[in-house]
Amino acid sequence: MEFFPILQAADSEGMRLVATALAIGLAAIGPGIGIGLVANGALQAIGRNPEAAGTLTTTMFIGIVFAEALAIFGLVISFLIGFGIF
Amino acid sequence: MEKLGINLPWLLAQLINFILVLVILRMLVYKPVLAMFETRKQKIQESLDTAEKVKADAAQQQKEFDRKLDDARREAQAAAASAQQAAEKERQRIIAEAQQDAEKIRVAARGELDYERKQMVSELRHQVIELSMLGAQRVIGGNLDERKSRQLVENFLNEVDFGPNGQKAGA
Amino acid sequence: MLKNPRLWIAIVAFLAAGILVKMFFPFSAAAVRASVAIAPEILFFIGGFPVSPTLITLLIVLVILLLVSFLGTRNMRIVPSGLQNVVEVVIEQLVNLFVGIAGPMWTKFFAIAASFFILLLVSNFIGLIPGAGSIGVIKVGKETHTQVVNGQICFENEETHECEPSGIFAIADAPDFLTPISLEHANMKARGEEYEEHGALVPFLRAPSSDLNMGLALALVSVFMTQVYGMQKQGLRYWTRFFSFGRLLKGDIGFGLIDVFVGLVEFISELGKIISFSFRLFGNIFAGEIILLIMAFLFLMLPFPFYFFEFFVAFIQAFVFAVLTMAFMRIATAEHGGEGHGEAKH
Repeated sequence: MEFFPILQAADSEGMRLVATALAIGLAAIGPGIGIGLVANGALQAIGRNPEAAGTLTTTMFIGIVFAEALAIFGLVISFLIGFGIF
Repeated sequence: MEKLGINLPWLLAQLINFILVLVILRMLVYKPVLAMFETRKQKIQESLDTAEKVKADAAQQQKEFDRKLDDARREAQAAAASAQQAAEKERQRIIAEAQQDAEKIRVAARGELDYERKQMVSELRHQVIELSMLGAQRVIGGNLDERKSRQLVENFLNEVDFGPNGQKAGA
Repeated sequence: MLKNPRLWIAIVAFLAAGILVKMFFPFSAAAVRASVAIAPEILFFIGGFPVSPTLITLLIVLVILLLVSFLGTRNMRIVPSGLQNVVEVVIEQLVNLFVGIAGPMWTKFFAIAASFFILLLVSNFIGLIPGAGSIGVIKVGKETHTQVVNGQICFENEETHECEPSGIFAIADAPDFLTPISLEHANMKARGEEYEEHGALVPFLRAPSSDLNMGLALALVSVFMTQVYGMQKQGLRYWTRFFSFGRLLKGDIGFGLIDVFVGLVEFISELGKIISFSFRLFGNIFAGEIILLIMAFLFLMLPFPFYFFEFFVAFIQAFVFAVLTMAFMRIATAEHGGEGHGEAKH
């Protein structure tokens, strides 16, 4: 803490808000990229094989959901910090 | 936990609600609707089958009808042919009969004619003999041996000898 | 389009109206804070049972489902019409979806997954009805935190101690049987502790799925039934998925330890499913509510495009909950032996 005077200056309430924002903000980066990749793959597959669009859409949603779960964990932590549960 | 809103009464309420929803939907929606899907499927299959059968029946009947029509036509044709044949036979028979009759009549006519001619020839001969006898009697005066002269003329006439038609034999 | 003067007039009028509204009712962080509650607040008690807006809405959802399913299937006909058509279309689409995911096993899982979808769809949509989340009673703070000035609720600024007008209106005094209180404070009150109530808006109606309890309850059902189906299909062997000591007991220390570790990871991911199921639903619906709220406070008509997005999210969340349940159940019933593939890791 001695190396970061700005953090030292901030009160615990401010720190909590920063932590809340960081928790969800950082957690959203990876899943964002991941969901983009999933949708990319699914769209390419649909483009090549439009008949399979129905199955691919369902599978795509399942894939998106797995990536999204990570962001959800970030959101949970963000809630926990932000509403002062920790 | 209570800051996140999780507490036992509400959790239980949600669980009970879900079970209620599950039971309601299962009883009122899933069972009848899925059963309805099945019934509809069967019904459509059934009507398709019936349509197929009706179509097959119609084709069968058409075939039968065609066959009967054919038979009838052939029969009619055969009847006509046989009638024609019979008529032809009858015609032949009539013609033959007529010819036969004609022949018979002709033959009969000829026979009669022959007979009549013979009659006439014999009569003529007779008359010739009579006349010649008479002529000779007049010429030589009546004592002529009747029997002998008659024989004479007879011989002469036989020498001349007319054919059945009156022409001279050998001419 | 740019040459149409009427359009320009409309745009300018719209902006002017928006600015005018904002002049009289400026954005107030206090109002947003007062309208956002992660835990549903208690409206009143029935014999000690706390009734929250989400539970009231849940009851309405239940009645809607009961009515629709009763009227839709009252006299089923071969040639469908009216409500029966709607019900049949929904069920048929779900059947097609689940057949695609679970194959011939779908009949076993259909009732639960379809109920998830239908219940969540109605729950999510009902929270988007205008007025849900914004019409309610004002929970008045114990001290001077909340005041009514010119019919508008004022929340006292914590630092300047000035009254900020909020854009939230009080039309009449709340009836006596409504005793809005937050869950936390109700518990503290029950324990006889001292607490300080903050002013807040407690809505009459709120999407049931924005209550973490709903996501948690459904997630518990989903994960529990997944284990039940897995065990029904594979018997006790199913549990080797989590506790595979087979190779360790045979003396193969290296692979045995790996098996045990994989089983542990599998077990934790099974628990993680509960969290991700519940928080995915809660996070999406709750975040949608907050976004609509903040947009409404920011500018006139601004929530409009987000409203469409929230409809999409509401559908997708219901869809995903049902599809994931189906997929997990199929994985649990199709997996052979204790070899965890880690496919449920998330």
